[in-house]
Amino acid sequence: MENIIKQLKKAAKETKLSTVEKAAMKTQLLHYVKTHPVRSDAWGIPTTSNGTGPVNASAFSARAVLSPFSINNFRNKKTLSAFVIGGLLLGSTVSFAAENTVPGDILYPIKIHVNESVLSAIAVTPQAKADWSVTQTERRLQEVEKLASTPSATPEVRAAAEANFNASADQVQQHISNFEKNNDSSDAMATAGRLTDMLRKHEGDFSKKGFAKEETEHNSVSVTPTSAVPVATPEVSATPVSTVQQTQSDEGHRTGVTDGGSVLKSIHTVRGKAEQVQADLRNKYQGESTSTVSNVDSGVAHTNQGISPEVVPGHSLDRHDRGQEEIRTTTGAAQNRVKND
Amino acid sequence: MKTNAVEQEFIKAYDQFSDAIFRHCVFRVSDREKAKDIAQGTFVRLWDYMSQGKEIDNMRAFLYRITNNLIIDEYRKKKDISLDRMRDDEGFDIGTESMRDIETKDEHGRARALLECLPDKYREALVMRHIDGLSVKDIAHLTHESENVISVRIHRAIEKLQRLRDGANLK
Repeated sequence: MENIIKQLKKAAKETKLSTVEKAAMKTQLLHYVKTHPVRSDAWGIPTTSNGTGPVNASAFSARAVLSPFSINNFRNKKTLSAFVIGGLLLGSTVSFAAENTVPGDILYPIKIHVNESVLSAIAVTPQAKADWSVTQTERRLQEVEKLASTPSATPEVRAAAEANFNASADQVQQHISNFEKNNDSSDAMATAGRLTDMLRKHEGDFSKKGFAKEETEHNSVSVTPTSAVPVATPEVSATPVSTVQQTQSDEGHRTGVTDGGSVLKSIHTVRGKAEQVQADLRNKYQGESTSTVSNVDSGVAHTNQGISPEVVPGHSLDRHDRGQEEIRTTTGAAQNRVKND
Repeated sequence: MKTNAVEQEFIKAYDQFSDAIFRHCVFRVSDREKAKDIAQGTFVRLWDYMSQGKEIDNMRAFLYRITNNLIIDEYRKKKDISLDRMRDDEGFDIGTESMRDIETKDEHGRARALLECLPDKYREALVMRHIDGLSVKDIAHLTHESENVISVRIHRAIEKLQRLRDGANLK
């Protein structure tokens, strides 16, 4: 088989234009070239008969010089794929770098408008959307926390971050109420639960980080949310006055950490609201007639029997997390505590 | 001046590729004069293109494409010519008479005569691959076929040549 090929190739080598023939053809071609000059409108630039040098030369040489953006570079599959990969990598690097930014950073807008747009676009179902808004709230909260621990952050930036956080939390509430409107109790409660869990966790972590010594004081920073918690909190109601005062004075002393304190307070406020919502939902969907919500007067709270155990799961308070036993509120326990106090 | 630059490029292309293009034409058309005409026509077309200020990435592939198109046009014209005329012309072999002709010619002529007997498409692929040295990918681009089709054609062309040659040798 190769024999044939070799034969052909040999024959091919011998076949070519004779010098004479070649020259003759060249002459003819050049004649053609002369009679069909380059069209002056080819480059959109008028030629003059004397050919003013610089302008025209540069115009042509501008085309002759390959710019990295010329279309010819895209005709090659290799360079095209190199461009595509480069673009993808660049985009992902920037997105990745944007993940850790806070309001005030250069890349922060990318985090919000690019990264989060993509992530929210992925969330298709209403449940996914609600979950995403909880996650978003967490992200805003992380930004707030991060800013609290950077001394160089300006108050405006911090305020902006907090505002974002509150707005995000409101968004979550919006989702929850949408679920309620559609009588979707499970999603509403799931979302509310997620939110409160997240908030609690952050509150716990944040307090631990910045305020290791001041645990007991911060136990009682909660002023308003006492009523939001269905669990009997006789300890809290018993101690608020003195400890609040204490807390305030303490916070005054630690100037460097005042922002941390206010952050904690705002987390706490939002958490309180979230827990309120959660309790409301529980009431609504557990169908219990008795209200377990407001219990400034602790004794009243848990005299209702048949409270489903779901009322209090995980309502072991973070206040009590730090070294104190978890409180499981059953009717019996509540009574006990009342007695103990 | 612009024109000069384009002219220079054109002349450079001619010097570089005229032999290859001519050779390609010879092995496709088997009439030296006709091959010259087509080769010249290729460069005329090249100038037409370049004088419009269009850029060319791959001069070689571009030239082969023009040539191929011209040759295909030539084939189409030829089909109108009667077969008798084709037989009488030197170098045109059809049917079994070609076998005798193949014997009498020298090796060079024999190879070309054998090529004649191939169907156009086979010949096209074979010449491009083994005489012009184009890659299968380039050939596929030129002829707007898939690489697979080209490979198959080359293979079948070689087989057919083999059979023809063996057939001729037996006589």
